[in-house]
Amino acid sequence: MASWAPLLHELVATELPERDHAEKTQQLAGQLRQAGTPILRLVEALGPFLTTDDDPQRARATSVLAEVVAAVPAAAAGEGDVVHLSQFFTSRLTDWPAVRGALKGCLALLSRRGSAAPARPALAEVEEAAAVEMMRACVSHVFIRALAQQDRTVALRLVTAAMRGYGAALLDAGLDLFEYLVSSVDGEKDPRCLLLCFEAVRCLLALYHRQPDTSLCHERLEEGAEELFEVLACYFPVTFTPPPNDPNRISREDLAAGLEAALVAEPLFAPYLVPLACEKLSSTLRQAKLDSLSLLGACAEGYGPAPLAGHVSTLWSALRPELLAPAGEGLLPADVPAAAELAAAAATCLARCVAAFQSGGGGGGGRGGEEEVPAGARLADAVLQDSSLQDMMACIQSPGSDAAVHRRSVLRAQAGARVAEALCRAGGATAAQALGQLLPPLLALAAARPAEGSSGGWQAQCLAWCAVLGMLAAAAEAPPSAPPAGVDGELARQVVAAAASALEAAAAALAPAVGAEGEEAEEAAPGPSAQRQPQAASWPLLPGDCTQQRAATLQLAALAALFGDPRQAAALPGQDVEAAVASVLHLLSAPCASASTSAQQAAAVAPLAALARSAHAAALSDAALPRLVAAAGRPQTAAAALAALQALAAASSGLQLDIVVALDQALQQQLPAAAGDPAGSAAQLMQQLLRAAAGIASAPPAHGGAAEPAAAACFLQLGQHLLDAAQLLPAQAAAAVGAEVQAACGELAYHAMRGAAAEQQQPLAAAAAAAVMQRGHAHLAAPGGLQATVCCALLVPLRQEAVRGLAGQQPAAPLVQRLVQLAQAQPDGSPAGHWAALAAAALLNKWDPADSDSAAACSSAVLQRQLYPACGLSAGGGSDAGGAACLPAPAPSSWRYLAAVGRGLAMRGSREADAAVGRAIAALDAAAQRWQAVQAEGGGPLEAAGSEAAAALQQLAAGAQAAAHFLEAALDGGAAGAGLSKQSHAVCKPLWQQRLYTAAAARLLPLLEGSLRGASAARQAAAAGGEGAAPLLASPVLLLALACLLCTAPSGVLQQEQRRMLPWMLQCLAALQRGPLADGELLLSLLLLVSDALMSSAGKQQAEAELLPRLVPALLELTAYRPVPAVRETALQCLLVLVDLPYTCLHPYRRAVAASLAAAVDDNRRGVRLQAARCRQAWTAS
Amino acid sequence: MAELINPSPVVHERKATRRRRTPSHPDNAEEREPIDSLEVFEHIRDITDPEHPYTLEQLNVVTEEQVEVDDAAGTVKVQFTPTVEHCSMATLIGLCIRVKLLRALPPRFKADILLSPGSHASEAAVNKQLSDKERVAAALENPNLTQARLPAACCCTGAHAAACLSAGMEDWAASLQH
Repeated sequence: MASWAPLLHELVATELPERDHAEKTQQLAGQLRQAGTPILRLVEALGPFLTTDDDPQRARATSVLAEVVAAVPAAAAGEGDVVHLSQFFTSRLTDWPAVRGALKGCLALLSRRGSAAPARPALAEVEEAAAVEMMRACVSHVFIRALAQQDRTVALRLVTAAMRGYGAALLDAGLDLFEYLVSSVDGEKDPRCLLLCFEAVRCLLALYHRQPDTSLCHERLEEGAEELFEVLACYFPVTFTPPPNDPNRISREDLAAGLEAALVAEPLFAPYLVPLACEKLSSTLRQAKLDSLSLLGACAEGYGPAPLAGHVSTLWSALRPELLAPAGEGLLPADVPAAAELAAAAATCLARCVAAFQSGGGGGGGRGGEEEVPAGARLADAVLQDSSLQDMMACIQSPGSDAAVHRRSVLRAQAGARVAEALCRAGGATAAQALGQLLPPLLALAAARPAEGSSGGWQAQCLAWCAVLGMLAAAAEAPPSAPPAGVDGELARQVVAAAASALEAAAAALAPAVGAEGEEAEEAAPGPSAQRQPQAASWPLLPGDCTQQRAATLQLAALAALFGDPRQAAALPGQDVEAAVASVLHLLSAPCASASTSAQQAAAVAPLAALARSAHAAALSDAALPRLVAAAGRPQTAAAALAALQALAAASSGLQLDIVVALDQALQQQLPAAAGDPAGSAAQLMQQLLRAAAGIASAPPAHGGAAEPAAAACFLQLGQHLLDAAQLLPAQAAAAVGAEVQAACGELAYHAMRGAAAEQQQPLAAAAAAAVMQRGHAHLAAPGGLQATVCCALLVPLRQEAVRGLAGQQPAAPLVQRLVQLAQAQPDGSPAGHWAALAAAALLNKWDPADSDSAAACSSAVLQRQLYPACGLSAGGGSDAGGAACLPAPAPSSWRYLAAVGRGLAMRGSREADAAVGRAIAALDAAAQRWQAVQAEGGGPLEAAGSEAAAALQQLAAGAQAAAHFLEAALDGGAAGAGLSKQSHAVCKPLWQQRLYTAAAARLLPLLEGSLRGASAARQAAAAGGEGAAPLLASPVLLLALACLLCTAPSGVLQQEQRRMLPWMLQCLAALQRGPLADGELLLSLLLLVSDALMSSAGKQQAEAELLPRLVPALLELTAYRPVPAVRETALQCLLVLVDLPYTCLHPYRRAVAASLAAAVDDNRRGVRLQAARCRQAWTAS
Repeated sequence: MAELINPSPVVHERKATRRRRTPSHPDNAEEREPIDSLEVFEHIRDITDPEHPYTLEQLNVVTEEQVEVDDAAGTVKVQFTPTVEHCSMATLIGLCIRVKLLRALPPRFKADILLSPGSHASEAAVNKQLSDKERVAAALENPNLTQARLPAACCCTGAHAAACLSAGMEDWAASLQH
C-alpha cells in the first residue's frame, strides 16, 4: 500500500475545513511528486470514490484528482493520460455536484498550452478536438452566474485559457463564446471575478480581431458589441472601497484600469462609449470626472481616428468646459486649485486625443487608421478656432489695471493657455500649427513696451511671456514618438530674438536701480540650477507682480525651455544663440542690488545650463566663460556669476575643466588681497570663490567615463596652486587671513585632492608633508596659519598607496607627531588645528598594514606624550583613580584632537583606540568621585553647595563634559562632509563602531553599577538618620558619559541593547535635567531614543513590567523642562505612546499625568500645547 | 433605520491653513506664542459629524473665521452652523465641540459654544442647552462624546437616540424627540 494512501483516504472520505484541505492536498502532491507516482495509480486508488453515488464524496475525489493534475503535471505527462483525463473531466462538467473539480481539472489541462515552461517541455497537451468537446460541454452545461464565487473564478480562468490556447479551433467549431461570456459577465459583483471578467473580455475581443476579415466573427462582433458594452458600461465609473485587511489587495484603481482596458479594446464601442464618458464628465463627482477623462484619452489612443471621427465635436464640447472651469464666473478662490487639477487632467486628455489622432494609428494593429479621416486635424482646428484662444489674446492685451479685473483676466488667459499647451504637448503637425498661429501675436504683445515711467505697463508683457513659456515647455515635453515638428526654426529665432532684446532692456534698467536701492541684499545668493523655474512659470495674479523683473525671469525661463529641447536648440543658428547668451550675461554681470535682481540672476543660470547640455556648448566656452569669470572677480557681481559657473560645471564636463582653470587663476590673484584685508570685501570675495570651487570639486562626477581622470588632474592642479599661493604669502599676511577663508581653503584643498589617483596624489602630498616638516616652522606654527590649513587638508584624503609612497620619502612617525604638535599650537577652534588633527588621524589610519609595529609605536608615542597630557590624563596609566592628575582637563579642543586620532585608530581596528577610551572613562570615574567628594564637602545637594564648592563643581563639570563628548566624537558614525570616511579613502573595518561601543560600555557599566550601589547605601544611611529620601541616582558624571555614548551608538546595537539600557536611559534623563551638567540637546537625543524604544513591543512590555514607576515621573518632569521646548514636546510624545499600555498599570499615574498635562496645555509654545492636548485626549479617553 | 436629517450634505475639501505671522526666533525659547483661532480650530476641525462620515470642517459646520480667541483674557467663542436649520443634532455637535475644547484648552479658558445667528430653527433653545452645566457634566461622562466620535447608532433620532445616549443623558434624549 502506498504511503500516501491514508492521506488520500482522509482527503476524500471526510469533509475537512478549507485550510486543512489545501494543506493536506499539498502534502499529497508533494509525496506523489517525490515518489514519481503516475496519475494512473492515483486514479486507481480513487476509483470507487470517483464513481460513487455519494455526491460530496464524488465531488471531493474529483477535486483531489484535479488538484493533483494541476500541482504535479509530470504525473500525467503522457498523451494517453491526458486523453483519459480530459474525457473524464469533460464528462464531469455535466455532473453538477462535482463541477468544481471538473473545472479545475479542465483548467489544469487546457492551460498547458501556451504557458508551458521551458523546464517541462515533455508535457502532452490536450488535442484540439478534445478541447472543443470540453468547452462545448462547459458552454452548454456550466452556467457561470449560478456558481459560487470560487467556482466562478475557476470557470472564468478556464474560458480565458481556452480562448488563449484553442481560440481558433473553438470558433471554427461554431461555439458562441461571445454569447457565453456576455451571459457570464453580466451582473458580476465580486471584485476578484470582475478583474477576471475584464481580462476574459479583452482576450475574447483580441481573438475575434485575429480572425480573417471574411470570417463571420466580425459580423458577430458588430451584432453583439452594444450588448457587450451594456454589460461592461454599468460598472463605469468604478466605485469600490476595499474592505479593511483585504487579503486580495484589490484596489479601486485595479478595477478601474481593468475596466478601462476592456472598454478600449473594441473600436465598435465608440458610438456608445463617447456619450457615456461625456455624460459622466458632466457629473459633479471628482473621481467620475477623472475616470472619464482617462477613459476618453485611452479610447482615442486605442481606437485611432476613424471610429471617433464622428465624435470630434462631442469630444471637444465635453472637454472645453473642464478646461475653462478655473476661469469660471463665481468660482470661490478656495475651489480654484481643485478646478485647476481637473483642468490639467482635461488638458492631458486633449493632448492624448490629438496626439493619437494625428499619429493615425490605433490599437489592434491599426484597424481604425486605414481610412484617411483627418479627425486629428478637425479636432485641432476646432480647438484652434475656439473663442477661448481669442479670449486669451484679448485678456493678455488688456488685462485691466484693477486688481479684481486683472485676476479675472489672468485666470481666463491661463485657461486659454492651457488649451494651447495641450495642443503643443501633442507634438507633431498640430503643435507646429498651434505655435505658428499663436506665437507671433503673443510675441508682438510681449514686444510692446510700456510708456517710460509707468509702473503698471508690464502686465501684457508678463502674461504674454507666461503663455509663450507654457507653450514652449509643453512642446518640449511632446512624446519622442511624435513626428519632430515642434517649433520651426524661424519661430524659435523670433522667440530668442524677442527674449534677448527684452533682456537687454531689463539689464539696462538695472543700472539706475543700483544707485537708488544701494547694497541691501548681498547675502541673497542665487541658488544653482533651475529649481526656481516652477515659480517663474506661475501666472502673476496680482497687478503688482507684473514687473520688468518678472518679465525678465519669464523670458529667461522661456530661453531655458527652448535651449533645453535638443531638437529646437539644434535648429537655432549660432549668432542668435550668441546674442541671447550676451544678453543673459549682461544681466548676470549687472551688480546684484536687490532681492528681485538676485532672483532674476538665479533664473538666468537656467538657460545657460540648458545651453551647456546642448550642441551650442562651444558658444558658451568662447564667449560666456571669460565674462563670467571676470564678473566673479568683482564683489558686486561675484555671487551670481559663481552660481552660474557652478551650474555650468555641473551641466557639462567639458566646461568644468575650463571653469576650474579659470577659478584657479582667479584664486591666485585674489589671495594676496584677501590676506591683506582680512575683514574687507576682498576676503569675502575670496571666500565665495573658494566655496564655489569646493562646490564644483565636491560634486560627484556626473559624466564619468573619460572625463573623470582629466577632471581629477585638473582639481589636483588647483590644489597644487593653492599650496603654492599659500606658501608664497608672507608670514604675517598668512597669519592674518580670517578663519572663514582658512576653513574654505582647507575644504577646497581636501576636495581637490580627494578624486585624484594615488600616483597623482603622491608628489603634492610629499610637498605638503615637506612644508609641514621643514619649511618655516615658525610661521606654520603661528596661530591661524593659512599654510598649515592647506598643507594639512591636502594630507587628509590621500589614498593608502599614496600614504605608503609618502612614507618612503618622509618618515611617517615624525610627520604625525609634528601634525599633532601643530594642532596643539593652534588656538581653540581654528581650522588649522582641526585639519592638522584630521591629517594625523588619516596618516595613522592609512599606515601600511605590513608595518603594524611601527604604527603601534607611533600611535602610542603620539597618545602618551602629546595627547594624553593635554587632556589631563596621566601618562603612566589610568589606574590611579581619584588622584588629581587623572581628572579630565577642561580643554575641549584637546579632547577633540584626541577623538579625531582615536577615531582614526578605531576605524583601523587598533587597540590603542580602546586604550584611549579606557583612559577617558577612568578619568571620568575620577571626576565622578571628586564630584561626590566636593558635594559632601559643600554640605549636600548642588543647590545648597557653597560658592567655593560651586566653582569647583563648575570646573569639574567642564572637564567631564569635554571628556564625555570625546566618547561621542570618537564614535560618531555620520562624519558628514569633509572628514575621515570612506569618501576620503580611510581604512574602515566593518563594525568598528560596534566594537568601540562595546569596549566603552563594558568599562562604563560596572562603574555605574558601583556608583548606584554607593548611592543606595548613602540613601539607607540618610533614611536611618531621619532625612528625606533623595531619588536613587548614579553619579551624574558617569551618566553624562553614558548618555553621550548612547546617543552616537549605531542603531542596530541600540536595538540589541535596549533591554539593558532602558533603565539607564531613565537615570540619564533624571540626572541631566539640572545642575552644571545639564544638557538640553543631549536630553532631546535621549528622549528620542526612549520614544523609539517605547514604540517597539519589547520596549512596551519592559515599561509595563518594570519601568513605569520611574519612567512616568521622569517624563512628567521633562514636560516642564524650560530651556528646550523640543524636550517638552518629545516627552509628551512618549507619554502618548504609553497610552497603549493596559489601563490597570496606567491607572495609578492618571492623576499626576492629568495635573502635568493641565499645565502643559497652557505652555508658551504652540507645538507643545498641541501635543499636550493630544496626550490629554488620549489619557482621558483610554 | 430612520431617515437621515440631511441625506446629502455638501462636502467641502479640507483646507490648507497657514499662519500669517512668521514664527518667533528659535533662540528665544520662552517667548509666548499666543493661543489663536487657528490653534483652536485645529482642535475641533476633525470632530466627526454624528450623521455622516465627514468631519465638521468638511461639512462647513465650523470654520476658522467662526472661532474667536482672547488668550490673555482666557475666552474662546466658537460659532457653528448646522447643515440644515431643523437639525436635531445641533446640541450633540455643540456638546462634542465643548467637550473637545474642555480637554484641549487650559482650565483658565471659558468657552462659549453658540449656533451661528439665524442658522437654526430653535437657536435660542439649543444655545441655552449648550450652556447648561448639568448637561455638559453629563456629556463629559459619555465616552462617545469624550472621544469626539459618535457610533453609527447615533445617526438616528427617536428611539435609537434615546437608547444610545445613556449615562445621564435620558432627559436630553427626550428633548431631542420633541
